[in-house]
Amino acid sequence: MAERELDGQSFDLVVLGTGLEEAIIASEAAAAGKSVLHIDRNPYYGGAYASFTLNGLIEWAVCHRDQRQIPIVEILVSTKAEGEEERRQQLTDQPTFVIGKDSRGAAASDPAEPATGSRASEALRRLAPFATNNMCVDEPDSAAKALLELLQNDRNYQIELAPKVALCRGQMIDLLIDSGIGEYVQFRGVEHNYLVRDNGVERVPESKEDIFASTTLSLIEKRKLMRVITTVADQEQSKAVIEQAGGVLFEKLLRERFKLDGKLLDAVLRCVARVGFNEQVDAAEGCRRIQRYVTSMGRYGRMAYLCGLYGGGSEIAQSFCRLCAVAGGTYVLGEDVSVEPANDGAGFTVSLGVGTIKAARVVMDSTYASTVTHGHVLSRAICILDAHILGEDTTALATYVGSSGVVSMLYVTQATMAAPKGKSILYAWVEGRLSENKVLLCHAISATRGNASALLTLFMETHSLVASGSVSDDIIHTKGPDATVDLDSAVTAAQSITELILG
Amino acid sequence: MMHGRRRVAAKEPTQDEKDEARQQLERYCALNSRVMGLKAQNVFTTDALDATRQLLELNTELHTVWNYRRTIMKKLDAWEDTEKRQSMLEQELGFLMKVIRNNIKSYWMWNHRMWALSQLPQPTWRGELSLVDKLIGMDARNYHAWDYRRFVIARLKDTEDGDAVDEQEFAFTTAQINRDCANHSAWHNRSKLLPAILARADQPRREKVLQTENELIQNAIYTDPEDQNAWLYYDWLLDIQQSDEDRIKLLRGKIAAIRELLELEEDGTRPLIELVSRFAELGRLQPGSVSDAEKEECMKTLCTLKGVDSYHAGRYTDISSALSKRWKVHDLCV
Repeated sequence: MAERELDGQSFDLVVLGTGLEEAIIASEAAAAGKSVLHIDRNPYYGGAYASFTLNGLIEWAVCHRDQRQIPIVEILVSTKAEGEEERRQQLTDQPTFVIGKDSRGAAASDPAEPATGSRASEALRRLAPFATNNMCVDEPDSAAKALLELLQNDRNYQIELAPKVALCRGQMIDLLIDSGIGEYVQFRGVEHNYLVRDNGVERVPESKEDIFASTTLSLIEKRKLMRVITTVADQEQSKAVIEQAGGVLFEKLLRERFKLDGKLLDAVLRCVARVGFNEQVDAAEGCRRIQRYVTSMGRYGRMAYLCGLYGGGSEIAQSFCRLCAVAGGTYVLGEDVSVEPANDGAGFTVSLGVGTIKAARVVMDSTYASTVTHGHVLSRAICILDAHILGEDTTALATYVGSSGVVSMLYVTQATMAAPKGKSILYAWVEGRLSENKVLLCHAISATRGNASALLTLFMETHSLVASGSVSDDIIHTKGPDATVDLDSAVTAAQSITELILG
Repeated sequence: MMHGRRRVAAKEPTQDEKDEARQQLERYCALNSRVMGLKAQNVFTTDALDATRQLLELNTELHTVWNYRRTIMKKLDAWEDTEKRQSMLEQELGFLMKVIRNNIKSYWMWNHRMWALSQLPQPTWRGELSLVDKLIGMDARNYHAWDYRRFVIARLKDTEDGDAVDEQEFAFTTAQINRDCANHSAWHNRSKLLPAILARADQPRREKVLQTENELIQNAIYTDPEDQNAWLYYDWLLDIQQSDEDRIKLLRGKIAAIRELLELEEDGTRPLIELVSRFAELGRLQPGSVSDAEKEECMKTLCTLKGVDSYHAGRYTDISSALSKRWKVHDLCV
């Protein structure tokens, strides 16, 4: 549809933001016969689930990031002092670049540079105003040189803002199959699940074979673990156990009924049932989570999760957008947009650069709301490593369990086209503010990375925004990525909104 | 047909399918008559060979025809020439590979393969081993494959270092058991190899090997106490001990292991009955070694078992009455 034609049009549904939830909602509405206009103010798809090349990530941090959602980004580039073998830096050292609230302003105030030089130097130029040490682009110091070197391979990176995987017997996989998207989106299995503690990294045994062959579990631990697997994972037996236990917390059940403690307890509670540090999960829910995990194994192989190639969340969001377009949806990227209730009281007026549109209903990602309050906060780290740590060409989940918190981690490599050959990426995230959790995140990364060095580490704090104010009453807002490791929560959220819209 | 696969329910055939089946049957009967006729007339030509091939492709179970085929091959002129025999038999192996897909468990086909390999001037045992590896990979408990494997290994030892081959095979069974500790074929094969390994070893090595076996068994017992494979292997291990002393040592170790297991698994029926049986055995080997308290414990356990596992009540009653007579204690199961 040519730009001029949009002005004055009416749509059943206007969706703002092309994050995963919005994409699913848009495609289901279009499939149900609604006219859909899908807008994103960014020049890319994916919203909070977007994935970028290294250069793209820098551009995002400086120019496109929603500053209420992600108020601060810190980037630490590791350097080697002259003649040193190893990089001595700690992850907790002062970051090389700090990109804060006024980054767009700072970027805009730079005089327009002639488009000379490579993409790499362009990225460096973009970052330079935010350097903490008066970086001069024309005479790069060691940090700048290290960054330039990394940027040589910029296109081999696909870095996700909200990394997640899909449970094999979960709603996301089922939705991908039902929608037909599963026929072309590619996945690799998340081959292993690791428990990381201060004294080391250990694979979580997930099946009878794993348990039998394990050399790090004692016989008694093997027996206990087998009992958990055979009892909890079986619906009949677990029902009996839960009834007997009454309304206890899952952790209590594991400790008292199954006599789990130490690393066994951590493995079952944190790595498999994925109970958060402050999360209260009752016995029934805990057993359900274990059952979902165990039944997921074997659907596509010996793994419980699948990880999408080229940045799962983003690829899937784009695929749903494609599906929506095929069913008649219209797409607009890179346009600022605002929404007002319509003058006649029915529906909304949506204003873009190309014109004004009437919408019966509006669904938006909360970053489009004019007034927001801040909900949950997540601290995230993205660490590019110079070697493989949890296996070559593989994908793995890891969970750091420490005395002050539990950190979820995802390890990716060339296997999912996330990093160039020989390098790997470790994502880490935990609930809470960056100022309070940065040390914990660094701890988790250090405990996992072994002998590999961090080349570049990006820290950010992501806020889930809750729309407030009267305009927002009839507008439906999506929540954005949560702290869970799998994509199912986005599907659940999207589908409850779809039900509301489609009735 | 294969272990662990669901059986597909049979469907009523359509008229087309019935017609086709009848035509196939007619073809088969005609071919069968022709081949048996040729055999009766002692025809040993390449034509006859070809006819047997066609018939065997349809039905691998005709052992008379396999016999006939072997006779024909031996009577052909090409048999006398070493090179021609090699190529004829290699073709035969290729034919068998094709036929294997139809019926992986045909005794006659395996027999024929063994015959062909025995007659090959230059056999390819390593190639055969990789074939068996593949078969075992597809169905880890296919005993035809395991049996054939033992045959291949035995022949392999003619040309290669027997001890090294044994060690490799032993490692193979370990890998198979690690994959699935309920794989009886793997445990069985291991039991065939272990005596030779023990015989070759000096005392320190013997002890180390036995310790490894103990650990493997314990691993299996703790992972799945109700699976019988590890228990049976344990019994066998006790059996092959040369001296009563060794046997008693192993027995005591076994009793301790079971006790530990029972701390976690109070209601495991298998461990309980094993405990009683071991005490019974210990008492038989070393009179007076079972204490009164232990005897009473056994009798009580048998009573408990009878209540928990009613299917085997008769067996427990039987054991209880025998033990009460031998040990001169009360029979609680009456």
